[in-house]
Amino acid sequence: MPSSLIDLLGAEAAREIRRRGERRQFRRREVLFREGDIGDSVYMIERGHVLVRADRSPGEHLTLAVLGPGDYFGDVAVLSTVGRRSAGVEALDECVMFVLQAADYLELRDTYPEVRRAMTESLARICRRLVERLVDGRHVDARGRLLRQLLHLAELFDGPIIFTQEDLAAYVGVTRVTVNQILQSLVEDDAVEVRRGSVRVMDAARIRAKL
Amino acid sequence: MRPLHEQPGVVAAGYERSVSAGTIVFEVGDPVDAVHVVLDGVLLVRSVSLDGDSAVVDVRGRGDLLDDTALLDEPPGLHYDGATAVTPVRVLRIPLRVFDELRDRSPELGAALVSQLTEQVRRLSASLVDLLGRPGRARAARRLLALSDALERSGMHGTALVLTQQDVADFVGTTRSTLNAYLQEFELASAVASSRGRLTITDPHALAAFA
Repeated sequence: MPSSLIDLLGAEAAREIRRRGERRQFRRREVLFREGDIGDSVYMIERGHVLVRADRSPGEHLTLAVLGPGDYFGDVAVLSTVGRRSAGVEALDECVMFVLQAADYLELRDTYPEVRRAMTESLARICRRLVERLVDGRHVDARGRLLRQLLHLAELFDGPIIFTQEDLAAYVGVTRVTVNQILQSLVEDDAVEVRRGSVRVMDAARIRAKL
Repeated sequence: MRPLHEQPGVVAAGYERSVSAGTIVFEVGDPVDAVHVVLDGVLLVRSVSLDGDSAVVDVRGRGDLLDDTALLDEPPGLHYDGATAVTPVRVLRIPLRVFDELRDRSPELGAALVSQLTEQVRRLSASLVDLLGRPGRARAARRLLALSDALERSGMHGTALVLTQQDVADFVGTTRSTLNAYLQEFELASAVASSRGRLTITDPHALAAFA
């Protein structure tokens, strides 16, 4: 994963984003916006990770994507005529982002080929991850999905997966109780280590063998 | 913003191919050496996960790009997805290198690709929410409505879709026999008509009542 979308750009495009964008910090677990909010800004992640979430029913949500450095979000509302957020976004850890207003986002996109390239790259990657989970969701039971996603998330975070058990449940689409049971069995096999607010894959080969 | 196939230079950059319903335009394992833009008709996209499972994950119609992975900075050498025509289809095949040059030259084309991928993220996200959280009957109705929308875009409302119940079941994420029961209900409401290997969406409004 690239270190930041801005790092992929030429000096001029990067300078323009820094000049026009507002550099903002978000605390761990801060809600940036909720599904249905009116919004006209786009966020480019410089540091940290966010959860993109869809409401399923009151108090219950499904995580659509985990985004990190190199990714951006918020464009769905900007590009649509409705102008409302199609999903909610919450910071997973301390985040630093460049927040661009819609007009600046559109202008930068139209001016710099490498901005368009970087956006395309980020979106194509997100599509690929969604497709993976769609295929998994059709073939694999809850346990299998959790095991697979643990392996994928370990790669994504390149270290401890900073997910609570609720986060894992909302990502895989199962109950927290199920997640807890499966994690317990993995802990007993020394395949993972569960801490408060994170899970670390200790032995990927052992998890793979269980699939 | 103009759709892809109406962008300047796009039609001239490729050559047109007309295929009958049921034709595979490309399949898993084919080299990624070109992109395809849909001029008319409807296709289903089937994808294979890293773990080797496959499912129908998306529907595409007029103005859509079929090969989003070709847009990555480092495209995979071989397709891990395939596209099959479910109506008569006209596609524009553009060699990858030609398309790459074109999109760097044309800000509007690059922006149209970003919009297209944004829409695709939105669509795949909705499918994932459905798959993990919505009952089978509603999912079936919603996926058929996606097919109906794609038909509409080509002015092909009411055209018979050439696909098997297994294809639809793979798209919905259910078994063939369960899907068959849903289809019978939809038929009773005069929303669809099915015969061997063919499905016609006769009344999208009636179908929407199940979604």
